Amino acid sequence: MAKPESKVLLDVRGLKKHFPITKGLFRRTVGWVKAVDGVDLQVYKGETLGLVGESGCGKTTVGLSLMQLIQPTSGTVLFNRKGEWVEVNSKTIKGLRSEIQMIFQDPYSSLNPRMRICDIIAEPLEANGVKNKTERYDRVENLLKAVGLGLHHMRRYPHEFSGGQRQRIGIARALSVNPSLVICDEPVSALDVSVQAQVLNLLEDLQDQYGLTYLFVAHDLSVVQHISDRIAVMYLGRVVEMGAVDQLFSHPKHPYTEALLSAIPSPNPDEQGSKIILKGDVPSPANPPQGCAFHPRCPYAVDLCGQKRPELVPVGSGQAAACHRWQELSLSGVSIDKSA
Amino acid sequence: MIIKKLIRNRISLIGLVILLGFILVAILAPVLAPIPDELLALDPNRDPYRIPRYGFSSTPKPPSPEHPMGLTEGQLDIYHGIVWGTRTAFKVGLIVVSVSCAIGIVVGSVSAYIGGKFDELVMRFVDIFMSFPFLIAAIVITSVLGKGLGNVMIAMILFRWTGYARLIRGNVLQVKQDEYVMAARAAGLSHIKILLRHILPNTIFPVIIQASMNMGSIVVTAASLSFLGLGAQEGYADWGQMISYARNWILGSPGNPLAYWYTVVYPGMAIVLFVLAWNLIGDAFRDIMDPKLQG
Ligand SMILES: Nc1ncnc2c1ncn2[C@@H]1O[C@H](COP(=O)(O)OP(=O)(O)OP(=O)(O)O)[C@@H](O)[C@H]1O
Ligand code: SF4
Ligand SMILES: [Mg+2]
Repeated sequence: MAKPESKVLLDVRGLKKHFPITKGLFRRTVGWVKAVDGVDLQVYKGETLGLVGESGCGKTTVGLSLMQLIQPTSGTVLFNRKGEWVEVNSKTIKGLRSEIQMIFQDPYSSLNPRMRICDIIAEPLEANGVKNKTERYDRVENLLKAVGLGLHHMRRYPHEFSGGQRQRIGIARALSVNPSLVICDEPVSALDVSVQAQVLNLLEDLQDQYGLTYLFVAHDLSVVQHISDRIAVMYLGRVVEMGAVDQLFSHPKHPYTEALLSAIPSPNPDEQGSKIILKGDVPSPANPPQGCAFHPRCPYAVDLCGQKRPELVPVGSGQAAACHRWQELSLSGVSIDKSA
Repeated sequence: MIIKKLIRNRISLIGLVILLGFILVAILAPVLAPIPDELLALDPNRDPYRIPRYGFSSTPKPPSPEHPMGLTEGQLDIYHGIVWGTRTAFKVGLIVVSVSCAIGIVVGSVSAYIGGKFDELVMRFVDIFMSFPFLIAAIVITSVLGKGLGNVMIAMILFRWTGYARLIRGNVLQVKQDEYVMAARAAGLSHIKILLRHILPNTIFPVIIQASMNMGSIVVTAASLSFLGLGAQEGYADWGQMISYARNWILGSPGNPLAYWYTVVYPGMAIVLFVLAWNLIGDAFRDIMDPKLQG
């Protein structure tokens, strides 16, 4: 297999995670939930890659598998450690914990209620060889400042903080070991709308300050639009389209992306295109449709779509799509106002 | 801080006071009920748990200045038996609860943390233990190992740990899905530290509450085994045994049903108060251990 380009920080190929469905006293396996079913994606150094898809499409599972927090079923994940390619697996991950960190979805469940803030933030340092407690706490003080919290918060417990503050604590914890890649799993979706923007701004500031790369998970395009450089769209355990934000927004190459785009409320009411209503519900990942997983709901589906699964292929301008008909279709996108 | 809150809660205060009373009695047993001098003269190494005997008649004698709670069947001093029986109750309760709780916590939490097929296997093993009728098992064990309080305790430990294992397993299965456990793993923390720092502190309190409530019921079980003659040896200070001496006298004498009330009321009261104290405290623990209520 060819080595990825050097601007790539994380290269994911064919990542799969199938959860067994068990039944009965002896937990016989009666089927599989194909939560992630062959994900390909590349994260470039210093960028923010938005990973977007509906609830249940497998975004969190991708994040957890990348970090080996759950054992992937198959696939290869390569990480670029200062120019040297390391395969991420259960053996190498220990040495990569200080390179790859994660911010979790639910700030109310991601902090141990019985630990003090200083110990929560210092934990990755402790686990990665900073034995000296004073040294750890010095670093915690800097991190608290960096995420906009005060030093007087050090010795408090999580329940004394609001959702937004808790998420800042989670961010400080992830950054404590100076990672290069941070997987942000819907870091603002559990927060009040008024707080979301503050936390997103903080993440952007920190990215500049520390030269971070983000894999930023979200369930709708409007959240990632401003923060991302590129976007990967997921449907039922697979990436169906990937590309630079403006390109993907203005010229989507996959019907699912087009449908997601049509659902974004436009700031200009005259410009509002017609919203594409997809028929039916998202199928269960325990029993995904044959061929293109999107075909039962796709307005452009043809016979081939129900038979053969389309691969994610380059479609020009650094964009990639997994659709048999990408060349013939002319899908409508939206124009984005980057200044907004 | 926990103590302060226990005191503030009125119900638990009652429990605490009763328990404190028992603790004092247990500690001061050699002062409250010393071995009578004449018996000590006969045998300087006399075991203080052996209840002094004042005669050979089997009919109990009512309370008198020398024997404030009377003499039970075989002229054994009830007061001495109650006082030293307090020590026995604490010994049995604390040892059985702490050992079985420790085994249950280790087995249940490790099993749940590892999960999968291993957990399934361990739980089937637990089920087997739980499906034995305890009394029959206790009779079998004491007939193999011999009678005595020590063997009764072993039997109780063997059949008590499973309840704690189940309880903590359920809690661990939940908590291990929580994102802070994921975060600790993402940090690279070792499994043992994750268990000790993240999982146990968030799962152990219901087990501790259960354990404190079981202190009472274990003493009742031990008493019933003694009542059946499986436990303490003849004449040993043990509340269950005291009640078993009352067996023939509970109905009183013809025309006077309350003639021998003291043979059953004093040991009965000791057991009831002991159980009550632990239950009240267990209830109060439940409210206190909720971290959201911590200031
Ligand atoms: N441990 C598990 N065992 C079995 N199925 C699981 C497990 N974890 C996730 N799944 C299933 O895998 C699918 C993908 O879940 P995942 O949490 O990755 O979705 P998601 O895209 O993050 O959704 P959300 O936006 O709601 O967070 C879902 O159908 C979910 O039910
Ligand atoms: S492959 Fe067919 S069904 Fe799938 S998105 Fe393309 S047109 Fe639609
Ligand atoms: Mg998720």
